[in-house]
Amino acid sequence: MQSVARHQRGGVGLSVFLPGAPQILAGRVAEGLLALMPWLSAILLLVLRADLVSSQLGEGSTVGRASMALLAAAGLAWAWSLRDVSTPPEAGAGQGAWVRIVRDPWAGIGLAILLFFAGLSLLGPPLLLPEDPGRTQTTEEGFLPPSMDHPMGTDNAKSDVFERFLDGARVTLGIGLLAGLGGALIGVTLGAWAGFTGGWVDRVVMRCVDFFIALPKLVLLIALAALYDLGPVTLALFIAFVQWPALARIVRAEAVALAQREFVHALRAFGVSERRILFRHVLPNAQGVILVGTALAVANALLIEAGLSFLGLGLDSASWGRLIKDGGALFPHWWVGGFAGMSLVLVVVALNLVADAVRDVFDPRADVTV
Amino acid sequence: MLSYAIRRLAVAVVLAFGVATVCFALVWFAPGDERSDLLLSGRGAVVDTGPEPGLVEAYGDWVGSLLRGDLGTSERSGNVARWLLARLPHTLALSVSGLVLAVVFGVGVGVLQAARAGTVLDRLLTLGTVVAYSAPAFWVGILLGGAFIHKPMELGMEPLFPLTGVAPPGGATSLLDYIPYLVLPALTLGIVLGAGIARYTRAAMLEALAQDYVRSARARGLSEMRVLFRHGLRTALLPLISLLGVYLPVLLTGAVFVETVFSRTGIGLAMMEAILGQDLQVLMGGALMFGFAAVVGNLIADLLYGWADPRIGDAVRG
Amino acid sequence: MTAAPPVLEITGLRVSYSDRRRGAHGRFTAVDGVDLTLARGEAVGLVGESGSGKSTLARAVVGVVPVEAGEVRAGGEDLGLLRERDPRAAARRVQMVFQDAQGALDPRQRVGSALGEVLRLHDGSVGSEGADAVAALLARVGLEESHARRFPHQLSGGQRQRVGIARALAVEPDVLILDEPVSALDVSVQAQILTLLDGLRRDLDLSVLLIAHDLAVVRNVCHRVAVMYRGRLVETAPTDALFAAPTDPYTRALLDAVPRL
Repeated sequence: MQSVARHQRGGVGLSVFLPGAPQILAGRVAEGLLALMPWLSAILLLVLRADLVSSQLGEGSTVGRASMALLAAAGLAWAWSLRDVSTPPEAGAGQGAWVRIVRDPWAGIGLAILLFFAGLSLLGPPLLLPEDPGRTQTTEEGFLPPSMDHPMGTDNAKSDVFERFLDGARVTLGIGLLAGLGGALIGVTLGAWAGFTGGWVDRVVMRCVDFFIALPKLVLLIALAALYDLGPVTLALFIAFVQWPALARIVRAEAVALAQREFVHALRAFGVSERRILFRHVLPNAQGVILVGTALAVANALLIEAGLSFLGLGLDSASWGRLIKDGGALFPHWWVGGFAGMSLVLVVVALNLVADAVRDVFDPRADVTV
Repeated sequence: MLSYAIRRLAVAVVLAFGVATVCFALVWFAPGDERSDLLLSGRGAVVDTGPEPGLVEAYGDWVGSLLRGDLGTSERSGNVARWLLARLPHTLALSVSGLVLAVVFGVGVGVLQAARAGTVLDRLLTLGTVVAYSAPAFWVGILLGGAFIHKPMELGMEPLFPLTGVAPPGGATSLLDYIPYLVLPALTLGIVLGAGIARYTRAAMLEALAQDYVRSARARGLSEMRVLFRHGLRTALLPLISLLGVYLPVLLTGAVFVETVFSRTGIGLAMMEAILGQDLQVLMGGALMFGFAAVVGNLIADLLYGWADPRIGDAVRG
Repeated sequence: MTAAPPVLEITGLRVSYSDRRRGAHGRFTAVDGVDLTLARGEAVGLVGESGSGKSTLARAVVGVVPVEAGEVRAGGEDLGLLRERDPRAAARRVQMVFQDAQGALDPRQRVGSALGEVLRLHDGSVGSEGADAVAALLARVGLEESHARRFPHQLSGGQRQRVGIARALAVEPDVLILDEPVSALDVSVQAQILTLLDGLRRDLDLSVLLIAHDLAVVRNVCHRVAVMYRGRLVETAPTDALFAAPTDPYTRALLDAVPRL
């Protein structure tokens, strides 16, 4: 339990200038960073690109909308931090699972990393790149090291690596998220259904799961990507398709255990329909493993997308994997692939940290391997 | 145990058949009509007589030639099966040494963490394994290559390991010639895979050490080392065997990436070259080989587990 | 005029489990040919040591475990068939309060929501009407409106048992089966729950089947007592008669175990 003094370290004064800083000082890293990041980004934007923002704000352009979103987020963060600092913590208030996850320091760092990259990939391209999006900014020279003009240098084709990095973030994170969530959706539905229903449904689904788990899926995906022209959605779909078995297996195990719990019997005795029991009672009680599995599925999907692009088999458009491939041997032109490679690892680490914290909070003994 | 083994074997056969079918379907339904022809050119006989074969006929032919060990021939590579078999030892050497390193790293780090649970060392290693566990094999390979090969070269020094390939030009005359080429690739796989094993081992060890009989063994004054290895590791290692079956596809997939990064002429690199050269026979042959390797690996892991833990056979029967 | 059929009529009920210890196809017969009838407004105690099949009998009646042979009729209608046709109608005939009060409640569901769910399902009361109905139910079992916002783990054992009873009452059943409702509670709380139960039975003209391993529990609230031993009913008699002159040796043994107060 946090004392009032600890909660208010830095106090209102600090919060006015650096919303989130008092929370970080009080050990609530995630909440603090979630407030501090939009605030600092908004200030940076106003300082560095004041001309752009003032000319576009209020216009219906992408730049205008993105600036509005960032400023609104900064305002919200500011208001939240002030309110949070000036209200004393409720004495003895029970800490729900979510609060415990957000306040776990490692999970907090993970969440902050995820927010950073989400913001970067959504708001970065319109705000930080030249006005004409989609245009590859060619430069006079290839393999320029990082500088003020080119924060991540330039590559062999004389393109700005930072621009490719931001485009790649959109592709890699977008497809990873889509494929991870898609795979989770299939896996959770099938696993819960099989585990809860039992009988032949269970046997058929689990046979399929065993089959898919034993396949070297990525090798087959490589063959698939080489033979077929995949768009972003089909690519995400196929990546999702290799994700679901692992999730189905862990969710099924949880559903089997829950189906034998007394409260499920009680609900049946009240005439509550099987579907309602499954969706309203079994799934919410399995949310711990579902969350962990989903986070790991997204992490896996990111790695698969990047891997395929690294082999030159992903989408034609930019991806972090493609950037790493173009970076080649890392030396002497470390900036071409280095930023993308490090960011990829960072995002996956963040997802793993969050997953670990969720696992600890919901069930300290459960061991999930995806 | 015998009936368990037979059952696992039957499952493996069905799985292998499934792998082959998936590969066939991949090619058959691929866009572009020359691809369905390619399926048949492998028979060596003249194909372009008569009408196009139907799905069933083509599938039958394909499975038939597969059972004879015939993966077809391609213009670029000649007899595909022979071409791939010549490269198989390099992939096998990489996978096996990667797996060995992974188990050594993983179990070693996991045991060390469990023995020093809660200390700064444990926390640092936990963070380290999370990072290694999160990194894709190709990135780890690039980092290692950068650190031991390309950075020294940039500084004008001799690289610590050979640049690319599997052996010195002219072929290896002894194992010692071969090993330098294997070090970084195997290390890459060992790190990536070992991180997962370390995470598992730490958790399993801590659980095993918390059991009552272990605590009573401690209370009887058994040495810490003895407790750790006799009671902790034994209990923890058994499920690890079955986990190896799960890691196997990761190992094989990792091999594709590592071979690409270090230009090792194994099956994975052969597949990548085949993609560039539109050499469909080699691509599918490679995918099949990896598929079968996964099936066989799973079978071995299952059998090992059944052998190590006799209860499994009973549990499956009962 | 013919007499109305009994609210619950159990004939020749048999339930068995597969039991590995008795060989590959071994089965353990938990309930073996039980006959039991409940009239409207009647309270019957079902007593026996643990493992005698009392709980299994109750669970078979409400359909949690499958019936192997025999028949359960409620108001003259076959309960099993009714459950297949209309599970909610079957739930309104016979309802059960489970032994494990905490386990019988979804741990992630607040009390109000758990009660509201059953109410909505059975009489469609939603919104403020539903909230009123929840409050009325809570009042009926001696809880306060604020308890609706609690999670099961935030309640005491006695409160959880009251919630279980309230939820069963939500469907306005003809018969209420209570499986060891007080065995996990302090003696003082036991008395409160039993008093509550007796009042509810009178007010609602409810038939009650009260399961206990302890004869003392059923003595003051039941009209009749049925004694169960190894899956069979060994004696069924009016409470006073049973206590005064037990005929079965097992009943006598049970009676001897009751502390004289």
